Amino acid sequence: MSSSWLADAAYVWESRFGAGTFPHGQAGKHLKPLHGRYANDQIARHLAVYLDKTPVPWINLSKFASTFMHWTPDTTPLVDDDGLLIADVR
Amino acid sequence: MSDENADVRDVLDALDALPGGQGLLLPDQIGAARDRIIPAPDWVRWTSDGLHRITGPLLPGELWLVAAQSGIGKTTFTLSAIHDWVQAGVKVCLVPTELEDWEARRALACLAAGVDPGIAAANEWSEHADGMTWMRKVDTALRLQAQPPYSDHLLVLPYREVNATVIAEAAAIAADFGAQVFIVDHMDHLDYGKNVFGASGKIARAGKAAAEEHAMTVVGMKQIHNDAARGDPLARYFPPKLHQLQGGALMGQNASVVMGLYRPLLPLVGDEGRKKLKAVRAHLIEPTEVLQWGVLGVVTVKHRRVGRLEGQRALLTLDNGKLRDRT
Repeated sequence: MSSSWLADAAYVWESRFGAGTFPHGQAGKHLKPLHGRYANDQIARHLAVYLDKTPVPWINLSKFASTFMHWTPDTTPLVDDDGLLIADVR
Repeated sequence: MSDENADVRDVLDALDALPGGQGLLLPDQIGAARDRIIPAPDWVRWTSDGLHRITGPLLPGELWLVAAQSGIGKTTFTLSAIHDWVQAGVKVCLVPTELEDWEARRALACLAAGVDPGIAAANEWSEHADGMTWMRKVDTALRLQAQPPYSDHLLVLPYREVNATVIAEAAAIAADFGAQVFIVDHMDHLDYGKNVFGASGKIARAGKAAAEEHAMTVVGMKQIHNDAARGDPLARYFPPKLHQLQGGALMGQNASVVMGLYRPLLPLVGDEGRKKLKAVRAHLIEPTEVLQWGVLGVVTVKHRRVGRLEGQRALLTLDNGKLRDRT
């Protein structure tokens, strides 16, 4: 059973690889330095970017933790204030 | 009438006083022009500040079109506008070809009672704790429609199909009633049998002629070609373009103003947003997953009098069937 601070990260992981696949022990160890410095949902959002951009055989939570800021989610707006797609998104 | 028009009025009053002016066409032409530049009490404005900002007032003699794909909210828009106008003392005549006349009145009673018209339409009173209270409120609102001041401000004509003759006939009845706004929802329920070629153009001309003859504003709701949404499941929710109107060019030519309705997207960002858009376009998730719930967008597609308003947009939120400016 994972600590509650890992719940968001576990959800992100298991939504990609299936229920029960989240490596609780490894995650607790490698993500611990991030806990307290970053909000739990922020850790999860960065993890989602890392998982989406890293080939499965290369996924490594230690590596993710040490390059955490590299996996900042893209927040480029795609929609303007009137709810329409910005031209270069169409 | 604002003070800023005082100079204009002075100049035009001086023109009236020109010697020999009364015997020429000139004063009539100038008079007609004056009627359209100096705000008059019979000019109707939207009760929504957002809509007023993007279109200005509805002038007598004009044909306005409100276009959207089916299911986007044309009838909701129509009924909400009628409710607000009647409350504001504007005289309105409605031809609800999409609804039975009594259905339109029931929906308007719901708006007056602050009850979701969908509950009355589905007769779902018993499914809500306050259902019976709501039903009594709607019943009261319906009874009030039979009395002044409501009965003096709303006329509903039970035509189910339209052609040029119906438009002329209904507009004459509306004019006798004193309607400032004559609404046809919608103008594509055509009564031309197989002879649909050019029917939209005839109806547009009839709408424009009725507006001019009776000095009222004719507002017609318009369908968009289904072709406009083919291929992309999101396209039907986007703002319509002028060439997509059923009856296209002739409709556009006769209309003074064309407004388009659309459904705004959620504030999608980055890769996550792109992924969602891709999933909708691949039919993997429903478009409603990326649309703002209960929000309607309105865009001015064409504005003959004030070209700079073209492309202007406003967002309205839905509150128990009533559309309100988004704050």
